[in-house]
Amino acid sequence: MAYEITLLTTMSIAILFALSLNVITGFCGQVSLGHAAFFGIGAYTAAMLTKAGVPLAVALAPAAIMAGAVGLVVGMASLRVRHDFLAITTMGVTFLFVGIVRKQDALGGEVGISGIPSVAYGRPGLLVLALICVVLFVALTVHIRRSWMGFAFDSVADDEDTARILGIDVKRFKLWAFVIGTAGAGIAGGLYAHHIRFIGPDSFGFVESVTVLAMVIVGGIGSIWGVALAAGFLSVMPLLFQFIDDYKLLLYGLLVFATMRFAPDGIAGLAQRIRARFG
Amino acid sequence: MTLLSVENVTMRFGGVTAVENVSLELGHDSLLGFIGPNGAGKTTLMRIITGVLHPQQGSVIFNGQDVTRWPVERRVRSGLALAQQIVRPLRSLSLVDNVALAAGAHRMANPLATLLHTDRSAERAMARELLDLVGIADVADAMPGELPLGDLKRMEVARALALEPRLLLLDEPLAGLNQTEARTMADLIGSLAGKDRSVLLIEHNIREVARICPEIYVQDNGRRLLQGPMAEVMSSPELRRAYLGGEAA
Repeated sequence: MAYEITLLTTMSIAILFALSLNVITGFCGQVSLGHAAFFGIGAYTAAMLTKAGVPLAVALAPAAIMAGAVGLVVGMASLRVRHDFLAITTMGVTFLFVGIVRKQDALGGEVGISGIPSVAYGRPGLLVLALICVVLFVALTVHIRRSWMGFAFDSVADDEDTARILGIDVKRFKLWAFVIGTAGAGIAGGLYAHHIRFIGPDSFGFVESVTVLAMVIVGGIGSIWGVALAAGFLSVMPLLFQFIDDYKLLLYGLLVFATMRFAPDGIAGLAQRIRARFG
Repeated sequence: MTLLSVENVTMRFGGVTAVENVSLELGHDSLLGFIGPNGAGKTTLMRIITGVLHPQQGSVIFNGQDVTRWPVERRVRSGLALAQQIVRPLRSLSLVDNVALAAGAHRMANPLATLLHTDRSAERAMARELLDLVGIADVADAMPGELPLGDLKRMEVARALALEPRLLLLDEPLAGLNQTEARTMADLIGSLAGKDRSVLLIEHNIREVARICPEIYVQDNGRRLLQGPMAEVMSSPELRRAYLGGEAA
């Protein structure tokens, strides 16, 4: 049973992490290659707070706020760049985060933070907390999709200049996408730190940013259910099959390549086409 | 009373002066035709008025306020709308949603407040009425990629109207349309001015402009040539010189 709980917790955290990037990249069309940095900010914030005696359920709020605040700053710095330049700018955030954390003794430096306390009720308690977070975040993203904020995000993702001509304050909507998405990543990071119970700067590097982007691409950029499915599946595959763990990056790379080449809308688009043909 | 006043505006791109010391005035409830040969700087001036470009000199006064440094979206929310020369529909949205989004522009001032609204029925109803007005109600639910240019041009006008503007800027709305479509569209444009709405129409189709616009503004080589009543301007030697070159007869 403990093994299944570990699998489900891993899946839940990955789903939350991928859905948080989906708000920025999928809903609002802003490619981010630095999302792992916000995952890391949440992980470090929550870990330090729980080590100081704060319960994780409470520590997740400051983790989200801290990640969201840094996300706001990064968003503001990225407002003037688009497309490839935005991807490169956000990629720099990951390197910046890892570089800073490595030099901070208070954050454990190169060694990282170990001995992160377990959650009340142990692993089942963490799973329940992770599931609650996933359900709440899914509900939030479904609501965003249906609301006028989602409508505005659609227009920004489609054509920023046209969105402006329709009176939409593109900059402010982009910032909101960054804040919501990075805050979500912060919560996922907080859960991750207490799942693994050890974090180091290398846990939040460029590879992790690319991995979560792969989940969004394979699931179908912008699709909530597609991204959740891809994140859940891709996160547990390396745990289920050891040989996949050895070739994880290769497999993710191939999946992204195949998706972009044969089904650019990902699993969600593929399902839609199948439904249209046979439904 | 003036609704829009462009005062001594100059716009340079590197060493090229696209618009030089240009002034233009547009009254309330009026329809002004804006013509000029290719390269006259018409679209540049239109982009200055909408706020896509900010001039090196001069000012743009709209509805009594100096909007020269305002961003596009602020100008739009203050009552200005643009239908662009090159149609740019939001391709991920159906025609009705393209127009509904504009109809709900007043909701967009505060992003956080947009999270509280999910109902689009009123805006969609308004969008369908406007698509009916421009004659494409039958394709309201189609995606832009499925439709010809003529329909997309009409959608652009409907989308601009959905913003309920006090000033509607139309940049070559007849371009790419056949003669019948152009005439129908011109008739529609002619009916839009009034009821607290003015229209500035940039157009190459002088025949249609002359037919529907009571007043006309002419620009050539980035400079204001003439502005006045249609009959007076059309018979002026300067206009013939601009279009035909050489000495006017």
